[in-house]
Amino acid sequence: MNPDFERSSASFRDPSGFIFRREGTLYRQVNQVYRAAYDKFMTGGLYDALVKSGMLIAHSESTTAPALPELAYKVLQPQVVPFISYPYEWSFSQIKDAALLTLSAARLGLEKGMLLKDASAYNVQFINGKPILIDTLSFDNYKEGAAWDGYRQFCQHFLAPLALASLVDIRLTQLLRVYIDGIPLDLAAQLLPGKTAIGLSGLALHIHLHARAQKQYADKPSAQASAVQMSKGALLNLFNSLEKTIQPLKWEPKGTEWGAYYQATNYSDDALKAKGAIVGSLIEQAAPNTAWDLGANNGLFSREASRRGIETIASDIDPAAVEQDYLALKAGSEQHLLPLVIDLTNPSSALGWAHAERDSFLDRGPVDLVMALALIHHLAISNNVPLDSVAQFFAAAGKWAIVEFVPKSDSQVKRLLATRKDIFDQYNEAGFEKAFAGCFDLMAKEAIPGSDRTLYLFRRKA
Amino acid sequence: MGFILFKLNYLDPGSGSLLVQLLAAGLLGGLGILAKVFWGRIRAFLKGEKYVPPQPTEEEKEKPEE
Repeated sequence: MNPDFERSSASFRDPSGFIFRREGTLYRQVNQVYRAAYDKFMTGGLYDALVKSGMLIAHSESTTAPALPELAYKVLQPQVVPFISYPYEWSFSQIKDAALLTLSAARLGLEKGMLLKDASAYNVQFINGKPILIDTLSFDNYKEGAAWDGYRQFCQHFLAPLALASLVDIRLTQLLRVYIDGIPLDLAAQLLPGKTAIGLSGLALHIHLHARAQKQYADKPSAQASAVQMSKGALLNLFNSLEKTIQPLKWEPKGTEWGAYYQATNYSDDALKAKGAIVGSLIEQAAPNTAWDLGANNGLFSREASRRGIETIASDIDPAAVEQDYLALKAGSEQHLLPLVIDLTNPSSALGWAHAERDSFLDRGPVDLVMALALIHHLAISNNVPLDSVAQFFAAAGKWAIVEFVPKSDSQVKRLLATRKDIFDQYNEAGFEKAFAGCFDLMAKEAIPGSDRTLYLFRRKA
Repeated sequence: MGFILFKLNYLDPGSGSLLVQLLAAGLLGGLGILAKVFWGRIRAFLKGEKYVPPQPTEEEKEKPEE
């Protein structure tokens, strides 16, 4: 008999339990092996404290049958996260906030007699602009003397990418795409400036010495290491030390591609407002629940969707624009918006064991509406993507599409063509409409006042 | 009692990582550290010497491994 559930392919490392889906609903099975820890977690005040402070997703205990009854203690129905994102898609401050959340949760856990047993960046998601832990089974009963098993993972998942982004190059966060369990510390140590290895600074200890110790003790059994015993005070020192190492790490966007786009563009304030109004009315025609704004820059037009209560992803290739977007979102306590760093010419692929631990960007769709404003010329001209291929991608990603066509007469396109031969015969309004007619029906078309540009609303063909 | 700590834990904490967290917690906080065997290792590690483990006591020999 086929099972009536589907186990999450990303949920297999921790024997405490796992995620499964049955009839479209997401559940978490808690296994017997985790029973004592789960009971203490729920009755000892830690769950309440974490959920009340918005640090952990809430859940309810469900009466649905467990997926694997022979292992099961309980079945939970967790609060659903609108969109699963990954650390290699986060801007600098998103990674930093996720790291600080992890440390705060660890500290709070210890207060309540529980120890955070891992420190995976993949246990953090963003809801309404705030990082939140999603793994309800991450805490074990604290036993006097225990060291922190999550220490190495924390350094690899959080400290190394933040240090590299801050002190070397923001693009190094992309190493998280290559190394699924975080950036190897010996690699981080090699890439960091030599001065970070000197003295007893946090980076000297947690990255450089840590890397050396890992090499030195790589083949030593942990039975001997178990002679390490740490008091509660020592654990708190460790959490504090990591926080003090992370707090001063900063990244100020400068010199990247699009950070100052809206200042450099030829749009006047009035034209931007007019464009926003048209985009808003096209969104209302499509009436979506979910939207992806691709090439969103700092999310100016993404907010036309999110402020209408539509769960919106604002993706951009430029980490500076996404950083700016995230900081604005955080400052304004806005809802329904998630800025992410995504290079559309090479979007996040499926990663991990059996290609199934982390979903590709497209596999996390489709959504109701794809928005591509002032994007098409970057795909078609800078990256040579044929227009019908652009249309096919948008049709795979969403049911509706709002697309801005930017003609060759536009100064931004002129700029792109200034340094290369114009081999794009089909790049004009007629060619664009023809390419999109393959996958979409044209629902509305509106010229943007004060520019040569046109906004289109398409609906995917049935 | 040490081995009890690892029984249910699914992450390999890594011997080197354990050593460094002990060191970091001690150096940066200065309080509340207890290491039975590892101070010898820390000394040897920092001096780049080869570490010679102390002989276990009779009591420790009788403990089951798992």
